[in-house]
Amino acid sequence: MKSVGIVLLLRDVLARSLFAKYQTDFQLLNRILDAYEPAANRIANTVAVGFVQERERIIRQQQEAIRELSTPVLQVRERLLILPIIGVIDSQRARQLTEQLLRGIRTNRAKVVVIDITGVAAMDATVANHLVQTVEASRLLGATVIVTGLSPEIAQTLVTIGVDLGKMNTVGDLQGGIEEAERLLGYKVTPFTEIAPQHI
Amino acid sequence: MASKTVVPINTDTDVVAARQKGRELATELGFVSTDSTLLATAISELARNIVRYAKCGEILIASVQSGDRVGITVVARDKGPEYCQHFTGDAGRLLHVRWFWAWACPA
Amino acid sequence: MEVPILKQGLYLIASIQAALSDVDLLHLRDALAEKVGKFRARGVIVDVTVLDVMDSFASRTLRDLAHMTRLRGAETVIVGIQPEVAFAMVQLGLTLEGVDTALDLEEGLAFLDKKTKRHTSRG
Repeated sequence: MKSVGIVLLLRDVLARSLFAKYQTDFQLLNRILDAYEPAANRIANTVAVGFVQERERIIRQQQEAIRELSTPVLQVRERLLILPIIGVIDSQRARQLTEQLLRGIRTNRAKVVVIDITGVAAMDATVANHLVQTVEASRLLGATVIVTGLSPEIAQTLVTIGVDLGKMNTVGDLQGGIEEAERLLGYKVTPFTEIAPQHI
Repeated sequence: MASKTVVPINTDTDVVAARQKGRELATELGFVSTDSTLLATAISELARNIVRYAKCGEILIASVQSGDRVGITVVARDKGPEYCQHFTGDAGRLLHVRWFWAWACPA
Repeated sequence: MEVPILKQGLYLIASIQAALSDVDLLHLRDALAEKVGKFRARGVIVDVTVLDVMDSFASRTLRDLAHMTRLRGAETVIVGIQPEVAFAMVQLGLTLEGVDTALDLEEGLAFLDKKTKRHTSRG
């Protein structure tokens, strides 16, 4: 649904600043995101109606704001990077993101990268190729890439350019991707709501 | 800012010299490091082909300008057909690599 | 130019110090293959941090090296590929397929430890 795409942009920009603020404490971040999520969904629902005309202008503004954010690459955990990609991606932006990600892998010594493309509406073959190259280049730096948020349309584009999806590490959503990343890194994944039994 | 270098290619150490020259020119013209690495790698391939198949030849590396776009042309010449490679960039920000294997050089 | 090869336990570590010509790279490949046999090494690390270009010849030679050492019972891991070099490689279709890679020497050692199932603690 077109208008919901904009709110995803708003939400993700806000989520990003939350990441930046709380990235050192993953438990706390999770708690805050849990609190933030329902609010974001409510916002998404109420503005879903009648946003269509504003769409183009706002997307362009958001894109500019996002371009100005110096690090779209987020370190959430030790050795784990997240690159949320949102909006319309052109070839040049894709290249920029790849370069920033690769430098980020080196600087943060990341072993796993989660590239989330939930917010990407469509991808042409050129940009899809960039995605594949990013995965391959990350491997050369010793990092495993998990792609999350793959829509059926984008999956189709990848297949069209000859990507073997079976070989690409994909997980449904960002949260699932982070959990898979933690598994790969050897962290024990405990759902936030679980409370350890007290032994008396 | 016209710049031109010709690197004779006879041995594999000349391959290293050619790509270093390419990198120097790219840096001088303001290409970002990813682009100059791409250029240097491509020059390495071309120069090696000369050493491998023609025994001797030369690599011409020259800056080119088209409007406000600055680029680098690499021409590999050996005893065989002329290979012509064009690299152009918007002041080094975006790099298009166009390969012209054994075709005539466009003007 | 000869690349120094160090022996660390059952691993051989080759740290490339400067740009290598094709001939130097072939020498390195053969020297490592020979030393793997001589010292019965279980792992080989080639540190390419200093290389600012990795072209098809280098890729092919490293793949050959990994193959040769594996035939002699050792795993090879390439470490230190620079971000720009990795980017150029994938754009030109050079993927080092079938060769293990790690970020740096420390990661390379951890990788070899895991792969050869050794549990040596490292400082």
